[in-house]
Order: sequence, then C-alpha cells, then structure tokens
Amino acid sequence: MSRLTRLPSVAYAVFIYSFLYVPIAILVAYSFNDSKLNAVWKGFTFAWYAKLWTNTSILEAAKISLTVGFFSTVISTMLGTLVAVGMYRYRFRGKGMIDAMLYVPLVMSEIVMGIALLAFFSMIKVPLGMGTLLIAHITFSIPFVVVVINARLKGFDQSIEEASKDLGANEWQTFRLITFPLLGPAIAASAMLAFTISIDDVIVSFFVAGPDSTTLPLQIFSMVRHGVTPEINALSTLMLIVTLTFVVFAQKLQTRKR
Amino acid sequence: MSVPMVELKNVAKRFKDFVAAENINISVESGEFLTLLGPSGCGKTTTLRMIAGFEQPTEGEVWVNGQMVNHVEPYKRDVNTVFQSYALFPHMSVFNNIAYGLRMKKVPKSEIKERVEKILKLVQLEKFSSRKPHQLSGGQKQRVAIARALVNNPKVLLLDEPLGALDLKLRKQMQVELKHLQQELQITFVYVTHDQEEALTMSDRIIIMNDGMIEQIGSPTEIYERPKTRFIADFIGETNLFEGAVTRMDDQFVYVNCASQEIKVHREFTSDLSDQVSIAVRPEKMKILPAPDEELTAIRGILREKIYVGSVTKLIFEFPNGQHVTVNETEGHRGMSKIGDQLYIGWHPKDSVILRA
Ligand SMILES: Nc1ncnc2c1ncn2[C@@H]1O[C@H](COP(=O)(O)OP(=O)(O)O)[C@@H](O)[C@H]1O
Ligand SMILES: [Mg+2]
Repeated sequence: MSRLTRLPSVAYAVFIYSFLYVPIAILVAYSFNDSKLNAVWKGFTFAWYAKLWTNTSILEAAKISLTVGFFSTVISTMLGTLVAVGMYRYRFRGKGMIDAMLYVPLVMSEIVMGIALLAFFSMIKVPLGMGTLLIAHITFSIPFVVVVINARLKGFDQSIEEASKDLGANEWQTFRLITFPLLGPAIAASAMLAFTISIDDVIVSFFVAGPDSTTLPLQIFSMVRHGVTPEINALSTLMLIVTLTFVVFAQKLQTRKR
Repeated sequence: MSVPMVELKNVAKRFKDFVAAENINISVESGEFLTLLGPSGCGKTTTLRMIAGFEQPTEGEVWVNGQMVNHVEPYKRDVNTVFQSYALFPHMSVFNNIAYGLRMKKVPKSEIKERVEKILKLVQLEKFSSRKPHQLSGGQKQRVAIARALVNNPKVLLLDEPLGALDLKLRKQMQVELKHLQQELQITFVYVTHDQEEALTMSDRIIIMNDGMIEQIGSPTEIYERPKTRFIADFIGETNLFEGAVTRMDDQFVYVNCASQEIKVHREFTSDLSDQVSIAVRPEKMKILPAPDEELTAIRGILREKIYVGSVTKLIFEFPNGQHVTVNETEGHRGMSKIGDQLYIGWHPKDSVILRA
C-alpha cells in the first residue's frame, strides 16, 4: 500500500482508539493528581489511594462486592458447567428451545432483568439484602458460563471419552484424567468472566440490593452525585485494574493451545 | 475346534423404532482378519460398538473369548478400539497417549516405558514420543491411535474405518502395513470399511452388510466372483447385470431368457432359482469375439462409446434389447474397433452367476 492511501486508515485507527482510551487515560491520570479539582494538574501523589483505605463505607462496599462476587462465581460456574455438559451429552425433546432460552438473558435489557427480579423477590416476600443480591448475580452469570463452556464442548470429540474407557479407565478416572483437564481452561475462563460481571454490575444490583448491602459500583454511583472526586478516580482505577486482569486471564485460558 | 474369539448370536440393535442392525450372526476365529463391509449407514459402526461395549444389543448375545459380555463394561473387555476420528487425548504427549491403557492396568513403570518404546519403534514414531497430537500429521496420528490400542496386547482389535481420513497413497501404504502388523502379532482384527477395494486387499473373510442385515459372508474371492445378491454384485467392483426368466435346466446348466436370447449359467453358480433372476458378468470376463462360439455365450452388440480410464479402455456396447454393457478392451484387441461397429461379445458360462432379481 502506498503512503498516501495508508494515511486515512491510520488516522481512522488513531481516532477510534483515542475515542476508546483517552477518557480512561484521563481518569487514571487524575487519580494521581495532587489537587481536589479534576481541571488542573498540580503534581503526582498517591494520597487519594491512601485516603480510600480510611473510608469505611468504601471498604464495607468492597467487602460486600468481593463476597458476592466470590460466591456467585463459584455457584454459577458449577451450575453453568453442569448445564453445558448436560446439554452436550443428552438429547431430548425441546432441547433446541431450552438451549435458546438460556441465551435470552445475555441480550435482555438489564433494567428489565433488575425489575423482574425485584418484582419476584417482593412477590415471594424476601427482604432485599446480601441473599437477593447473590441470587441475582448467580442468575445473570449462568448464561455467560454456559456460553464459554459450550464453545469448548463444541470442539470436543465424544469418542475421546469412549477411547479412555476402551483403554480400561472407569467413569471416574475418565472424568478426572480426560474430561476435566480438557474442560479445565474453559471452566477457569468462565469463572473469571462471571467474577468480572459480578464485580462490575450496577443496574441489576441497584434494584435488588438492600440498604446494608451496597456494592462497590453502587457506592461509586452514589458518591458521583456530589461530583467526581479524585478519590473516585482512584477507586475506579483500581476496579479497572482488577477487571482487566481477569478478562486478560480469561482470554488467555480460552485461546491457549489445545 | 477352538472357541471363536468373537461371536455375535442373533444380535439386533434398535434405536427407538429404527432398526440399525438385525439378525447379526458372526463368528470370528482367533487370529483372523475379518472385515465388515457395506455402504455408509448400513450398521457397521453400530455392530462394532456392540463388540466394544459402547452400545447394548437390543436382542441377542455378544461373546468375547468364550465369555458372554452383554453386561460387561467397555473398560473390562479384552478388546481395544481404533476410532474413526483417532480420538487421541489432545492434552497428552504421544508417549502418554500410548501409556494410558497400561497405566490404567497398573503395569509397573519400567515395563510401561519398555513396552511403549517397543511399540513406538514398531509404528516408526520413536522420534515423536514427546509431541502433542496437534503437532502430528494425519498418518502419524493414525499410527499413534493404532499403537495406543496395540500396546495393551488385546485379544481383539476393533478398527472403525481407520484409514478413512488419509489420502489415497498413504491409505494404500497403511493397508499393507496394517496387514503385516496383524500377521506379525497374530491379533484378531475386526475391521470396518465402506471401501470395497480395501476390504478385498486386506481381509481373510468379508461380511457384507446392507440395511442392518448381513447379505453374505465369504473370502474376498468368493465375494468378488460369486456374489450372492444383486446388491453385492453391484456394490463390489463393476458388473453387468441382465434380467430375465428361467426357461429350462439340465444337469449342468440353467438357461435364462434375457437380452433377447438364451443365456446359460452353470447350475452350481446359482444362489436363487425363482422365475425372475439376474445374471451378473464382470467386464473383465467379457471379450470381443470374431464370430459366435459354441463354448461361450455370445451376444451381438453395437459399440457406442469408448472410455479411457488409464489402466484399461472401457467399451460400452448396446445390445439388441437396448441394454448397455461394459467390456474391458483386451491387449490383443486394442484400437481395432470403432464406434458403431457391430461385434460379438462373449463370456464363458463359468464366469457368470445367477442372483435374485
Ligand atoms: N445413537 C443413535 N441413535 C439413533 N440412530 C443411530 C444411532 N447410532 C446410529 N444410528 C443409525 O443407525 C444406522 C447405522 O449407523 P452406523 O452403524 O453408524 O452405520 P455405518 O457405520 O455402517 O455407516 C444409521 O442410519 C444411523 O443413523
Ligand atoms: Mg461408521
């Protein structure tokens, strides 16, 4: 390609990437800004990060987020894996329909899901709190887990398990030595994805969290009403790092050479 | 007589209402190379999977080495399988793939090493023992699959179209190697293929299956030269089929009226004698005659087409009743006939068989 024709495409790429990353870069930069205002750069500091550690409501919110994230990840990964393996192994009437219904929550508007869950909880008269929050997070994580495990199973030759039994391994040995190692990376990837989604969720959590179960994103959300402080920048930067780490690991695990 | 190595007694397999195999009676001798041959979907894999233990027969009994195994789990049977898709364990090296069966049997470590190395040498893969399956070519994967089964010294090796994924040249080469391996190790092979040439080349005996049923059991020669049904004559190699009615018989011959004249066939080569029958003659058994001949059956036809296929030229004749037959041009006749020529086509009565119409 000549330089002249390359120029517009390079400019276009620069524009798109700036659009995506400049705001984030600014946020990160201001989290280190030695000023109460976001507008001017005064110098470098870790003060806002230090201040986070003394803010009890933020620490409390972080604890809730991590707890809900951990348990919803473990439970949704287990349930989702079983669903995917079951769907893969057994054929039954109406399977296509049930399969499709699993994916609807992936595209359904989150606000609808939040309202639906809230209506459901108040109908069965469950008080909002950690419990409802956890159930909601498990609910929206399962489809993601199923999708990831399914993708792995699609390329899975069923006769591999038969070959193992043919060579003298019983059901349990076959699962331990063949099925699980082959599914392992996909399970880990889906767990990381589930954790990321849980840690990040605002909308559904907004509807189903109780007064004493405010998650980190909800905490940020309420703090922002009084203006974006450098403290929030610092907190957002930390969340960004956590999320990115998990997503990158999940990607690595999924694309690892088989 | 010794006990058969594998025996299927009146076996049937149904999936809901669908009959995948029925009336299967097979007896495989120790050290035999037996092939199940038939078109795709005729029930070969299903039959093999019942021997391996992956499918339960709906009816009948499966015996391996004198033991009824209907309710024996696959991992407790004295048989090993080479799968059509190879089914190598993708996360294990070639060495670990092959050692898998021995480890399951708790064979001592040093013996495992020794046996795996020996079999790697046998299949010429010594240099690849630490590779993963995705780093191997199709032919190499195929060898690993065979080695992984053979290393366990199974009484019976089941092979489901093991060469199906290889290109023609490699397939031919592997056919010879597999046959040698089988003879050397004296292992009973039950081999599945839909490739008739492969079956004829490798087998001691062939079982022809069609639509879930056995059509004929016999040696490659018997199957090729004396097919019992029209389906087999059509499926194995090229055949000219004539339909007609039996007119009379004497001690030696059966006379059939077809292609506008009386054709005689040796009585012993008849597998059916209803009124309406088919006669099968292989193209290479037909020749062009200068004049009608007492000994031979001869019919006058018009040469309609010449097809060059490399090793031979096929001549397509039209008989008076409008039927087309294929004749392989012989060395002595090369290039002597032109399209439109009227010539006599003849064959010896011993080179034809009568089949159910
Ligand atoms: N698990 C199954 N459920 C339903 N039908 C099956 C199953 N396995 C095989 N069949 C059917 O049985 C028939 C024979 O299959 P198979 O033994 O695989 O044939 P082949 O190996 O000769 O090509 C096919 O029509 C196939 O669709
Ligand atoms: Mg098959």
